[in-house]
This record gives sequence, structure tokens and C-alpha cells, in this order.
Amino acid sequence: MAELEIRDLGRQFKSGGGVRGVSLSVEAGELFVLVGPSGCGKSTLLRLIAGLDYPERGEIRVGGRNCGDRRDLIAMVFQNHALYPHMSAFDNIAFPLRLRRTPKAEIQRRVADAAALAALQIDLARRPAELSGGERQRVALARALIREPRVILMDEPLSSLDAQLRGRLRVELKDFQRRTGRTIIYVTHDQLEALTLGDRIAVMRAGAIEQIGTPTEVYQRPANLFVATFIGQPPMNILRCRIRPAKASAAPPEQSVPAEPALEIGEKLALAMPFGMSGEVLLGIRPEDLTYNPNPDAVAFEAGFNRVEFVGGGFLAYATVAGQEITALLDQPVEPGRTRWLYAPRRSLHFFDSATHRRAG
Amino acid sequence: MKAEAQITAALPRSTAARWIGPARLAVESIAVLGAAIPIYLLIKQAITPDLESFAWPPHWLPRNVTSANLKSVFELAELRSALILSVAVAAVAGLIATALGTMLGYAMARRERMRQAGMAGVTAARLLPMIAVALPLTVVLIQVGLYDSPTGMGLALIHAALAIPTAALTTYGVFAAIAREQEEAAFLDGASPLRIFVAIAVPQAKTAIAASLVLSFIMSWDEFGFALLIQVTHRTMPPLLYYYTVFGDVGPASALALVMLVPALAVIIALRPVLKSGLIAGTQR
Repeated sequence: MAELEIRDLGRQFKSGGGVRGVSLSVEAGELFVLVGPSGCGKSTLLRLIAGLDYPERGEIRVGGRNCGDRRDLIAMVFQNHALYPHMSAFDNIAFPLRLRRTPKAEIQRRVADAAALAALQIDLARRPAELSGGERQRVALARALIREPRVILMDEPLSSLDAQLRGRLRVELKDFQRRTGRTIIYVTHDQLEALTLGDRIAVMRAGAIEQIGTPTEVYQRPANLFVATFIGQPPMNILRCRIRPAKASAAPPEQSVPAEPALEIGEKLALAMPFGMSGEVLLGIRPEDLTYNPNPDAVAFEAGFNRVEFVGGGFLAYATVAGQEITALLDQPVEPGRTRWLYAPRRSLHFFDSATHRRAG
Repeated sequence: MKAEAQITAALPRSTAARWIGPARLAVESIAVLGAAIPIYLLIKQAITPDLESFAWPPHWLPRNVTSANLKSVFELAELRSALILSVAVAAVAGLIATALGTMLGYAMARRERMRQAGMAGVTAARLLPMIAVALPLTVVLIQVGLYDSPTGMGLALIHAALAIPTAALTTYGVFAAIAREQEEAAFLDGASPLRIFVAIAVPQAKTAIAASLVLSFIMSWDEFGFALLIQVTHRTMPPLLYYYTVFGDVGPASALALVMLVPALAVIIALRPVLKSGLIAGTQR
């Protein structure tokens, strides 16, 4: 039985945002990431799960129960930490227990436990204003842990921290979750964070879930064009392709001037395609899958280079293939203005239906 | 060329800068003297016999110093009871106005509709001529038996009503600045709405609440019109001061005024940091 089960959840705002018919289930001990661009409804979904907002339809079950007040089962860590500034770190962490009239000795013990669990090594008499961003984050985590909730919700908890600290805390959080086996639902707009952190991720857009899967599944087999271009940085290249009729030479008048530039698909590429596609298709290639190396299994593209940027681990080249802009992450620089062949392994190619934008095959 | 331009540009500024100091000193001196001279005269009148206050040409320095006037404030039954009544009325009015005003301020900060209604109400209350409500209010007080009450509670209620908008506006801004997520976190931690208000919102608005308590206390302390109308025999200090002045008892009147000045001055000094922060800017239009 799933720890958290959401069925056909709907909540519309007058402004247009909200969630539309979201269903998902999260297993116990899983770190489940909701990722999507701003305004995709991921925070709304989290607030609905928390009980800070109410759905118009659908249901939310925690541990199999469908209860109106889920506050005892759920804790939340907010983006700005939402610590109480007039209380010490200790009082912040102890606040949920004080509300429940827990005996003093037990409060002492459990605050110490929660602080240790959140790797909080500070003088707990200090106030939030006297703490660093990372320390505040840990206090917020300790406050969430102290109630021993079944599910912890996190709303972009690391986004207010600097990049270096964010990376470190991400690793720590993952370790913490593995160690303690907590169920965590984590909201972020950062696709890299979603990939590195999540056991499974749900990619959202416009109030609906586009794909749910493990990070590798979502990265390697994006379900549609949106997921393909949202996950991965630099984003996946999308090339419009036209499949040449089977007997191209027999029908020369068909070769009228195309309205839009499109890549004519050669035999080799056609072989890589899922069976049964015809007409116009969208071909997705990740910039990191393009190389100079002619591999026997690779498909070749003739690329005119416009611009090259050094990005540390390699060179990010901006090129034109069949009149369309692409980027390629290459190990060696290339002179702008030159034309060279780029190769991509056949199995690294993604095909999408040009009308539905769904993955083909 | 460039350096030259800089010098010419700098010249007028330095000339201006030379005058800013003295000009400022002059303006500030005039402002301070304007405020200080009446207070000085008040003190002088309070510590000299009446005769000297009416001397012509006027004496700028006191010649005969006496403590009789000040003593009379605390010794004359009439004056003493006015002092006690004023303190009681202002304290009760301040407490009621602050308690209700704080709640109103919080409601305005958290509910858009309350904010609109609150702002409209405050504006309407200011536009309404006080004299128009004075008579109906008096009738109501007579009906409930609080007219000219020896405890001054009828007047205290009216003063509280007058001060509620100030208390609400003073606390509103601070409540609005508290991140909503804090209250949501408290809600998820299991707190009731009342608990959220008392344990999360109020402690963070302490300064503003104290400021509104003091402001409403002072508002009641020197309110004259309603006090004159309602406390006909059991008078508070402002009407009594008026009667003394009218009857020419300048000495006791000045001594009384001096006593009235004390809490106001104490408040200004104590509230200086709050006043500087602009917290209550805009509450007194």
C-alpha cells in the first residue's frame, strides 16, 4: 500500500493556475520530486497535500486513510524556512511539542534527537536571525522531524541558498533520507536537483503531470517533447525532419521548396526510427550525445558552426543543421564558420510525433 | 580638461556645503525655540504666584518662586480627583483600544476584504464631524447609566472608540510584514488560529502594540471635547484646566498643564526609536 495516494486531484484558481486531475502514489521511504517550470502547479499540489488549501475534487490518502485534517501525519519545510524569528532555535524546534503539552524532559530529549538527526551543531539558544542559511535550513528540518510525521513535504527548501551550500545540503539530504527511510515529497524548479535527488520524479506542466519515473527513465526516455526539453542542461536539441518517400528518385516533383527548413532523413537515420513513422517527425538529440567520432552505429549530421563557448568540462558549440539551431557539447573546440560532421549514436536519438509531441517508440 | 570640469562642478557644491551647516542650525533653533518658549512660560507660571504671571511688562525670569501651585495639584481634592480620573480613563481607553485595534489590524493584514473595509471605516470615521455623534452618544450613555460616571468609564469607552483606528493602523503594517508561511508552518505544527495569533503574530508586533497603547493613552489623556460634554461634574484634567484658565487661576492651571505634559514628554522620549522607524507614520493624518 502506498504511503501517499492521490487520485484525480483538482484545484483551479481564478488566475488560471492550479492542478488539473493529478494522480500519483508515493511509496514509504521514497524521495519523490515534483519538478516543473514556475506556475506549473507543483507548489499548489504540495499545499493541497499539506492541507493548506482544499481540492475541488479528488482525494488524498496518507497511509491508506482519507482524513480531513492531515496535520499530524505531515510536516512541511518551507522555501524561506518560515522559522519563528522571535523564538530561539530550540523553541522553534520544540513548538509542535509545546502545542501538544509534551512534558519538559521529553521535549529536551526529542529536540536533541531531532537536532542530531538534522546534523544541527549550533547553540540552540540562538535566534534564526543569528544563524546562517544552512543552519536555518537544518532548524526547519529538525522542526519538521520532531513530530515524527509519516510524510515530509519540502517546498524548494534549498533555493534560497548559494550554489555551493545547495550542492552540499542536497547530498546531505539524500544521505539523511537513505539513513532514516523517511518519505519525502520535494518540490523544485531545478531539473538538475530533481535528477540528483529523486528516487522518482514527476515532471509537471500547466497543472498536470507529464511523466513520472526514475531520473534515468525520465532522462533517457522522455515521454514527450516538453519533458525532453525541460530535463537536461543544455536542453535537448529538437530537429524537424521530413521522411523522404520510399522511392524518392521516382518522384522528383514532390521536392518542392519546403516552407520551413527541415532535415531530410537519410537511410541510416530512417533505420534508427521506430517503425511506422512517416511524414514530419521531431528528432531529439542531447547536446552531450553529439561527437566528432564517426562510430559505425552513429548517425551523421552536417553542422555549420556559429559560435563556441568554453564551459569548463568541454566546449558548447552553437551550430546549424539543415537550417535549424542546435547545440553540441564537444570535447574539442571548433572554429566558428567551419562546417563539420557531427555524429550521434543511433540509440541516443529520440523521436517525437510532430502533431501530438508524444514520444514515438 | 576633465579635471577642470570636475573642479568647476565641485565648486558650487562646496559653497552650498559651507552654508548647509549654519542654515540648518538656524532653522532647527527656531523650531526648538518655538516649541520650548511656551513650555518655558508654562513652567515659569507654574512656579510663580499669579500676580507675577500678569505683570506688565512681563518678566522673562521668575522673581518669586513658589511651590504652592504644584502642591495644590496634589492637595486640592478637585485637582487630585481629576488627575486620578484622567489616569483611569486613559488607561482603560488605551487598553481597550489596543486590544481591539490589534485584532482589527491583524484581521486587516490577513484578509483582503477586512483591509478594504477597515481602511474605508477609518477614513469614514475621520470624515464624520465629531459633534454630530456627540449628542447621540451622550443619549446612549445616559440610557446605559454611564453619563458623568464617577469612574469615567463612559468617557473611556468613547476614547477607546476614537483610538481604535490608530491602534489598528499602527499594528496593521507590522502584521502584514510577517511572512504568511510562518503562520502556515504554525498551522501545520498543530496550532489553532487563536494560538497562531497569540504565539506567532503578537510577539513579533510587540513594539507596535506598545506604541499603539501609548498613543491611545495620550489621545485619551488630552481629549477635551467629549470630556467636557460627558464628565460634567466628575471632571478629567483637560476640562478642569479649561475652567481654571477661564476663571483666571493661572498658577494652578499652569501647574496642572505641567503635570499633563509629563506623560507626553515621557512618551516622546521613550518612543523615539519607534517614531524614527516610521512605524506610526501615516497613522495620524
